[in-house]
Amino acid sequence: MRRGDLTDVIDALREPVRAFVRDARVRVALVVDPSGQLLAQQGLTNGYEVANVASLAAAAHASARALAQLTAAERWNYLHQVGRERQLFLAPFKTPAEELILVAIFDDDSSLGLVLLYFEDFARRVGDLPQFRTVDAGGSAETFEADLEAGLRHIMPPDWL
Amino acid sequence: MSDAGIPDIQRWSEEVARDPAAPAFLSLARAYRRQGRRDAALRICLRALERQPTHVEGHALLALLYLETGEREKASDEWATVLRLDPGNFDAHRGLGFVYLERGDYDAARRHLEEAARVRPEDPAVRDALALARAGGVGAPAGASGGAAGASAGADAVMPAAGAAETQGGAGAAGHTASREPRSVFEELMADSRFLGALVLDVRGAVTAGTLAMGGQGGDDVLGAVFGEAVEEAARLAGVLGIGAWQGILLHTDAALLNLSPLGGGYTLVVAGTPDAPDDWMLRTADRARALGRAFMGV
Amino acid sequence: MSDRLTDAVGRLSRIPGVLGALLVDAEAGLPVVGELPDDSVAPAAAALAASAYRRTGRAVGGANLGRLASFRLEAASGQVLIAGGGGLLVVVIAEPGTPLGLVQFEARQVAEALS
Repeated sequence: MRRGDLTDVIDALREPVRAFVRDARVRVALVVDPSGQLLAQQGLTNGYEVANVASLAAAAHASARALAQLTAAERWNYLHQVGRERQLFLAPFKTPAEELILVAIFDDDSSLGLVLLYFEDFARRVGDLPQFRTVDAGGSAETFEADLEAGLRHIMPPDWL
Repeated sequence: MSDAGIPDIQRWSEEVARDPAAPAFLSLARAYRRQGRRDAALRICLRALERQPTHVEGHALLALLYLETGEREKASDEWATVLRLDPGNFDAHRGLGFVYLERGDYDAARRHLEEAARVRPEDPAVRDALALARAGGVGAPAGASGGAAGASAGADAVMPAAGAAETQGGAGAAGHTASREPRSVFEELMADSRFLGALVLDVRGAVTAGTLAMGGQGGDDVLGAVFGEAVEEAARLAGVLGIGAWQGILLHTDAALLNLSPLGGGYTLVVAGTPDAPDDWMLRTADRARALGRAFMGV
Repeated sequence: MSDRLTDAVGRLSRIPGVLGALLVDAEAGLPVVGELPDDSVAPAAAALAASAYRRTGRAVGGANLGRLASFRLEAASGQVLIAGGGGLLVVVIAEPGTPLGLVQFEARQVAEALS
């Protein structure tokens, strides 16, 4: 999605993401829109990793949504992957304006239960932000690369890109 | 501190644009704050702290910014973070002292203000506020009635200076009324062979009084951090279950029976017994230890 | 297995003064089976009880204070007992002032049976 107000959106998401990371005790949290545009991130310091996670999250969301439609499920709730040391949590959530995706990476300092508990709060908090209360124009496959880069430029220092 | 000129701000802006956690973020945020651009200053601090969450001065400045926008809880959180990172930080003790004073929690206010006064005994705002806290809020000296707002009065004076905050280590026992040695506060309980010791921890988890005669690694100060985790999680659990404020925690391990309870004034009491000691013995012993701890701490 | 778990929760819930009991997946922090007065709090109670037990257990172990066997929280309007049993935690919520001797005994029995 192309946004004239991207800086405003990124600033507005900063505090809810910070609170989520603190309360759910996750190591990394990213907010991405379905086109792969990065809107917020905390915990990763490498721009290459951030870009990868953002685009993979968007792709995972698209395929999970398609699978949900094929199986007549209304929507998919979350994806949880347990690794040897770290776990991945990926979940869509709705705001009045659009659907967003939260990606969280955590270790044994947290748990799926704790992440789910604070994810609900987080989604509600983001949905209440004025920046997400009005419907914006949708994105398209053509804008994917440009959107991704625009998000990264706002969030990561230029020398990391 | 003189006002920053436009070229300075431009230079800092460029540095921060390249790297939000560049050292210039602090100068830039301070300059914006002096110009009244608090939102911009807040954003700069938040962005920098995402990448440098242990930056003491960043958290201290964020506390002031929150305070100035009336967000006292957030300001208190930031000062608490500062104290975790830098236990003797003057600005954080002073800020929390004013916030507690404003809330009417005179014991906690006195404790923080005494720590602040230890670092800067000549600070008039701290001196006045301390007198007020010691009087239990009665007979406020002139100039000490500003509550938490006093913490940001004379903005630059409150700005942290790197390395300026130096206080005693953990065992200050500020505010205790008795004259006995802090480690021997619970000595009279040692006659019972099931009693393994007791500790008084301050808000930072530092040991203020007592000692444990058992095999903790790295001494009693490490235990303070350990029990801090139990208390933090217990408070969250009690909150979500709606069962009110926590009053005690009993931990059974194969090496000990441990009881944690709030002592008042922000202090926590930890009592340790042998693993075979009955729970009711522990509760009675903890009662006695609480009385001794309170008498010693003056809470 | 699930009958055994349900029976265990039922036995704990019937003790006088007990408001509810929950078996929790210790690692995931998710409720497995439970009887609470308000079922909607089960996920939050499970997540935070597991977190409290895990973090405290790790901290106590790290400080050479032994292996955590149970965690009992007293608050102004209630008490919570958490006992470890293999991959499951037994969580019991009781009214304030309820003597927890029997609860503790039963909870440990359940925990040991599950481990």
